[in-house]
Amino acid sequence: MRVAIADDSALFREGLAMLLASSGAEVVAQAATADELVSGLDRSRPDAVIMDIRMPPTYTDEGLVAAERIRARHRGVAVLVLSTYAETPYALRLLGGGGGGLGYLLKDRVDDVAALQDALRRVVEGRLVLDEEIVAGLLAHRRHADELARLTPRERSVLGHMAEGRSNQGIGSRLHLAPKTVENHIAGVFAKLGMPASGDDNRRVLAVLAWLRATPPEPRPVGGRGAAAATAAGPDHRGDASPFG
Amino acid sequence: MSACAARHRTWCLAIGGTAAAVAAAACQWPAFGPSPVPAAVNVSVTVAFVLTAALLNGEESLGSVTGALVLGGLLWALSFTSAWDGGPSALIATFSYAHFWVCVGWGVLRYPTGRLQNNTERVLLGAAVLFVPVANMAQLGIARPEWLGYTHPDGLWWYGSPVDHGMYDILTIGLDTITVALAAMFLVVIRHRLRRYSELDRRIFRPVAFALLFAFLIAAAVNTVSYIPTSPHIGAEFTLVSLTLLLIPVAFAVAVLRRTFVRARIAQQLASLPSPPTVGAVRDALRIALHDDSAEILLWLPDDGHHADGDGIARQPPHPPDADLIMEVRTAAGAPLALITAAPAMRRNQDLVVAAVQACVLALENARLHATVAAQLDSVRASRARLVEASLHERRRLERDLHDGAQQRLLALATRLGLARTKATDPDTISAIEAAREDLRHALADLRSLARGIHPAVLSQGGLRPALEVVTAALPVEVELDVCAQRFDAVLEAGAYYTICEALANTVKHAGATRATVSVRQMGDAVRIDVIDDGKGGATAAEGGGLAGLVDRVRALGGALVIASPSGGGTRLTANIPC
Repeated sequence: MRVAIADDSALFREGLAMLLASSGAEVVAQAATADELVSGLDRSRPDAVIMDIRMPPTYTDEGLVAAERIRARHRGVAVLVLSTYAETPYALRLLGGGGGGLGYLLKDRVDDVAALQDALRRVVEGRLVLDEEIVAGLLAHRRHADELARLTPRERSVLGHMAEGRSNQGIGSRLHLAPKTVENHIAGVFAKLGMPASGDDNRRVLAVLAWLRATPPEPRPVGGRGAAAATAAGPDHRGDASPFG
Repeated sequence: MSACAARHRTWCLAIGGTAAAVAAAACQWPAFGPSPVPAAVNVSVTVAFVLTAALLNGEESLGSVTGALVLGGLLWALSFTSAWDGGPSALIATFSYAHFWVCVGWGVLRYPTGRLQNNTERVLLGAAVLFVPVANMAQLGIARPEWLGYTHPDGLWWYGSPVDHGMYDILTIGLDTITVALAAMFLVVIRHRLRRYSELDRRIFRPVAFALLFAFLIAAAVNTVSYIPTSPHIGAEFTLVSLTLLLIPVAFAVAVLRRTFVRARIAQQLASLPSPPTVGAVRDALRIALHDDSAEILLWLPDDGHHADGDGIARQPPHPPDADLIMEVRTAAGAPLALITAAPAMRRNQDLVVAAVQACVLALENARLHATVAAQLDSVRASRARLVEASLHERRRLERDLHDGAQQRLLALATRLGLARTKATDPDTISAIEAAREDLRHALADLRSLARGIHPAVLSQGGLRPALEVVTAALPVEVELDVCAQRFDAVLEAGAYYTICEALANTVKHAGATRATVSVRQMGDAVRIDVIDDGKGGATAAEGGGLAGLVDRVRALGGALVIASPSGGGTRLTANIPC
């Protein structure tokens, strides 16, 4: 697999390149800026690019802008964005543009070659990949606490894996479930949450994300169990997302 | 002498009045038999002139008018010595009657400045002094006493040699015409003066001028009928003149009263000043009180080292100093406070300006104090705004340093650990790497949390809406966001962000709320932020508390925070921040 990297931190770039090389990928280009990466794509012709979001010159959203440009001009190139922060608005901006071959991961994932390889493979296959931290944050949101409380723990983890962009097969192998069981769980989730069922994995990701971000259709009486579940899910992720601590 | 007169005013009035009355009565004693009422009116004219002079004595603005009034009163009494009908009575009466008018005209022209205004006035007065008495005395010399109306010419002292009666009549018509012309010129001069005067002077001078003009017109009219009183029978025409003359002291009294009103107006204007007074308001009060639209207050600002006018604009005091009336005002402690300038015409009403200025001192001191405090407040606000901005820059710099430095180094370390993990085969090594990796994940999470707390990158990059989406997603309270996507100034966005975060932190910690709503909207030239929860309410901005900190934070941005938190009724924080 041919991979191009853009990150303004030379140290990180080198480390990532070494890691990718060791896992059998061919690092065909390294760039310190998004522009440098995009302009070299015709020459390097990678299967996937790995980019930071904050890069020179403005250190704001260069990575996202570059991803849009790559999607527009180099349709065959998959884009995996690695971000220092797990920011839901950015993830949605990246993935929500439609199509596949896009991924948004926390930079921390580089300590796990297998996970990185897996994500790269999936984006190159044209899937959407979303970091588990973001999915966990969405699932922990109090907004859907009542509806999510109606799911079994197993259904909740299936929902999470769907949101991360995994296929039925991927979910099955992760949870050590037979494909048929996974299908049943997915059908249960769709039925209980009233989501439109979709066979296409990428559409499924967007549907799940849209559902998670939407305000519940009608207010329901607060159930004791639902509140407990939400509170239990909350603290795990607050450390990262809250500015209060 | 005037000081002494002022101290024993009552005595002066009593003695002066009595003496005048006795003298006037003696002058026309024989007239009391045949015409008691006209004689009494004449006495009252003399007494009124003398008493008015005594009353006005000490009013420096009246100049030498008081002398003219006393002299005029006595001359009027002497004009009626003709009642004695013998000896020098005709000479004295003619001399006095003629000089009476000159004296009164001279006195009025010298009012209110104490001197004549220009050469026209000097020529006019000189002509009157030369012509009226000389003409009248000459008229005696070319006439027989009978022609003038004396019925018992035998005992009268007389002089000259009479001319032909026809000739006398022609000369008399000529003299009368010149007298009327002089009176008319007098009218023109007075009119010219009234035009030139400031509004204040006009108000003061007008009653006197009108009274005198009226008296002149009556006298000129009477002059065409009979020249001077010639017998103990005082004609109705002279009674009319006497009654008219009584208007003159009344007019002077009105003039003095009007000046007093001006002083009262100053006090009234200053009493109606706004609180705290502004220099502009004091100046406007001064202008109204003095009827002088050019009056200006130049407030001395010791901190700035220059003067500023009523509109707060820096101004140099006018040079040369004689261009305007300039008065220096000092504080009670004697420090320079202000310069007050007024139209040059106000110079003759300097006493009024002084009174106004003295009344202004306190208001001006107050105004300057307020202006100083306001300026200091402005500078404090400006420095606070600079501090807020500096603190934002510092936070962003810190976050960037963390991001570019420690975070990237740790992430690079993560890649190396990942690499080491793929290379490792020994179970002990693998478990050691796994442990290190776990520690590193915690370190990265901690660092991320720290960096985000210092300044969330998403705020700079995406604005308030995404930043608030991120922060509210993780709260254990359902937060509805109604935040406009518009971008604002970075300082405002950061301030609004931390304000909302702190408000939500309070909601989570203390309110026991289940829902909260955050709305951020631009309303005109301000951003309005509402953070509403359905908690137990009862929140107050206690000293040192979280809400007090919020109030400070919003104030530092030049905005205002309102907290409505009825017990049991939820809490609503509303912040308006100018943008």
